[in-house]
Amino acid sequence: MTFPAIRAKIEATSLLESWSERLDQLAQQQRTAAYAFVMGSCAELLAAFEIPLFLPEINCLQTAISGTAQGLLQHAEEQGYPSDICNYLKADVGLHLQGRRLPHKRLPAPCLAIATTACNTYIKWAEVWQRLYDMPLFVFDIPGTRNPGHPSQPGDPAFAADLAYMIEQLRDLISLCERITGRRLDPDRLSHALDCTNRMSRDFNAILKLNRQEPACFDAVRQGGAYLGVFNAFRGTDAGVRYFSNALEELQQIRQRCLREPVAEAPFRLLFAGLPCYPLYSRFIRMFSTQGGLFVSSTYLQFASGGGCMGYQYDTKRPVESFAEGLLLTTREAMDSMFLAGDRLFEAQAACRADGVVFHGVKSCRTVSTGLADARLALQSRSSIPTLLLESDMMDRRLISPAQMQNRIDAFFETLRLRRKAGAP
Amino acid sequence: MNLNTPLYFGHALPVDASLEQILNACRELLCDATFPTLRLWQERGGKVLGHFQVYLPEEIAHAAGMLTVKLGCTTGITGQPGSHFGSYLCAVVKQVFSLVDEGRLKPDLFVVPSICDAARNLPAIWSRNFNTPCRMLYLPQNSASPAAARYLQQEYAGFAAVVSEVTGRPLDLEALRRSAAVYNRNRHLLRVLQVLKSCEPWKLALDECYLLTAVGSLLPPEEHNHLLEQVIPQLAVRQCQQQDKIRVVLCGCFCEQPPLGMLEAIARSCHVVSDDLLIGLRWLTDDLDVQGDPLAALAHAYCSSSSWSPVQHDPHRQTADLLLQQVKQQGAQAVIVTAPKMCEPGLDELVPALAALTKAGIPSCVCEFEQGMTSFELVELQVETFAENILYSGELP
Repeated sequence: MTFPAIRAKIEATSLLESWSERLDQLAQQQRTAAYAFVMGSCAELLAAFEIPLFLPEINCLQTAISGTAQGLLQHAEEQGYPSDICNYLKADVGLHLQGRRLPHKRLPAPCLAIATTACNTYIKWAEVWQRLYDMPLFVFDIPGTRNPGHPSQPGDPAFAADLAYMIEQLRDLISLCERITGRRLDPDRLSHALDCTNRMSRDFNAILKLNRQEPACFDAVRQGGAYLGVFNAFRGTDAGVRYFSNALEELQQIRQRCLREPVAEAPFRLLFAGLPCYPLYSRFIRMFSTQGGLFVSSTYLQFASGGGCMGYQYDTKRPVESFAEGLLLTTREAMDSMFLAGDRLFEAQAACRADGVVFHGVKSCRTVSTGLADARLALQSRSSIPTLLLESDMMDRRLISPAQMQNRIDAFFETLRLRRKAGAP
Repeated sequence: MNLNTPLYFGHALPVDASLEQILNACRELLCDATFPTLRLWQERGGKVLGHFQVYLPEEIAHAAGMLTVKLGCTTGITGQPGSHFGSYLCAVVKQVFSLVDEGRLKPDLFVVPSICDAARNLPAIWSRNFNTPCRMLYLPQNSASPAAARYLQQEYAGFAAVVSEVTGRPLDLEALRRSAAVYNRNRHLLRVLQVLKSCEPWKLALDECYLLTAVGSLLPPEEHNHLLEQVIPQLAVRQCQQQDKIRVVLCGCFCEQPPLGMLEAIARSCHVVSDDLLIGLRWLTDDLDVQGDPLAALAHAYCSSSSWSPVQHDPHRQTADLLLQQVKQQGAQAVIVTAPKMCEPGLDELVPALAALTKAGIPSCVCEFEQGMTSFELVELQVETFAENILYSGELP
């Protein structure tokens, strides 16, 4: 099942290219950028200070798709970096060790790094930059859910304690940004950035909800990846607002068209849990789409948007406090969507009327992959829905066996077809 | 039955046992997959708190009458986690799950400090598979923040509330002060053991020190204190011939523990004068103030006077610098860096640690390990060659 080349996918490519070009320009001008990660990037605060934002995870996945990652991984390994660590980190280290140069772009050096605790590897990764560049590193400690499935809520004393810690840290980060830029925080600028993210988040959330109904109007791994890239790189900006508004409008039109002209055979609606296989990005998706599979939802969009797709709305009248609260709630949501995938997929499968669930564990990301095998067992114990567990990597081709992957996908679709033929619910 | 009667020292082991008897008994206890001390405690009506590495303020559970067990210290015990985990995870995560899944360990509460990405998945996995309560403990990673100690005090209060739910005993600050005093004593005795190992390493080999320390993870602290109080004077007068071995620092063992066989292999060639084995048991480096608010004291101590490991970000202290400092303080000639397979925080530190050591001209060797490994010939050969190279390098023309 494929969709026509939709405008939003093309626009996303163009926007992300402009983001890369901007970084290249900064590097050429010997200017710097803040390095941050997608889960808790603090993009709105950086936008308020006009500090350019570089997201190394996006750069890494782009190198995996373009095929340049392997050389970076090898370069880092030659310097002693072990094979069993996060390959995003390793490829990024390889890039820095070879002078922040890629075939068609250069990257600016960091003036600041922000690492939240959404992923512990973020901290180790940022420590590498600190050793290389001796720039300030701000570890933003964001407490997660203590009792699985029962997060504290605004109004609870436990939530208030976490929020107080967040606000204190945010004030420290603001002071640091003020020192770096030499100017005070303008609350109006922060409010504007938060307002932009509010609108982007609201539309992103509406886009994801579209696929809950039949017919689905986008692939959550292919087109979803494009939405995600723009959401992360352009959050807090007018360009991001325009993009999501247009994307939503376009998808609504596609949906109307799909309703008017239904396809002869409905696709197999699939849920995706885990990280995409970036070294074989298009081929991986085609392995499913050519057999009639369509990813209607993906846990990746939830955690890799830093929980941003949940539609959280900042209170722009009290920007600092609301930013802290939003960062706590959305980043915690991102963490829960990784750790609690096994508990949530049962409800998600019912909500999306999915025909099957695909789990893709990657060796080099323990944060996402540690619980996937167990999540699958948990889902199997509650539902007869077919599941498929694949293991490969999001960066390293050496850990991917396409033929073996294809065999297992074939067998999975055989099951799906038999069930459909037998009229399984 | 009375929970104050001995579980081990004075029960399974005579109170006047010799050093050799004590060491043998410690070895048996650590290799016993039936966890006899925990079983006995629970048979007497006591509650057990199991916790993941590296550090947990055990005082809080102790004050509520729980026996705490630091999971992952037992040696020679591996499990079969079946299809619950991928192949790319460390042995300690799998071992903890297997011990409970196979019914060998039945804690009444499981607590996981947020030390790494794999560990942070455990509470969700636990809650899907077991009925016993489980809680994540978010120790601050931004300990430089002035708000960190206050935050941690609240976090400890939340932890105490869960302990209270399990035991039915509300947090008693006086009891917590008494527990803090017991743990102060325990940490003091462990420090004495470390000093002895550093000053007269021929009297206390690495594996022996590990045995005496690690049983503390399976015993009430009072009983561990009695055991150490019995052992330390015996060690002080122990008659051992000084051996021609190099003085080394051992690092990389902050979470997953090397198997005993590997420690024995290292000890045959080296005097390990400092290490980070079970560093969580001596995480706090000073005595806690037992006069004021004990939760505040515990939180303050964590933020201001604690040890270090790769799982704890400290903006004021680089782990490689701390390692160099340790080498200097201990008068060590070399460093053995252990690399637990699939342990991301440990492996992430490998490059900066080795770079700093090389820059400082300190010889080092990397020994990869896994908790479940059973063959130590290669490690022994590697360490022996390394030690000989250093030992005889001075004799070369």
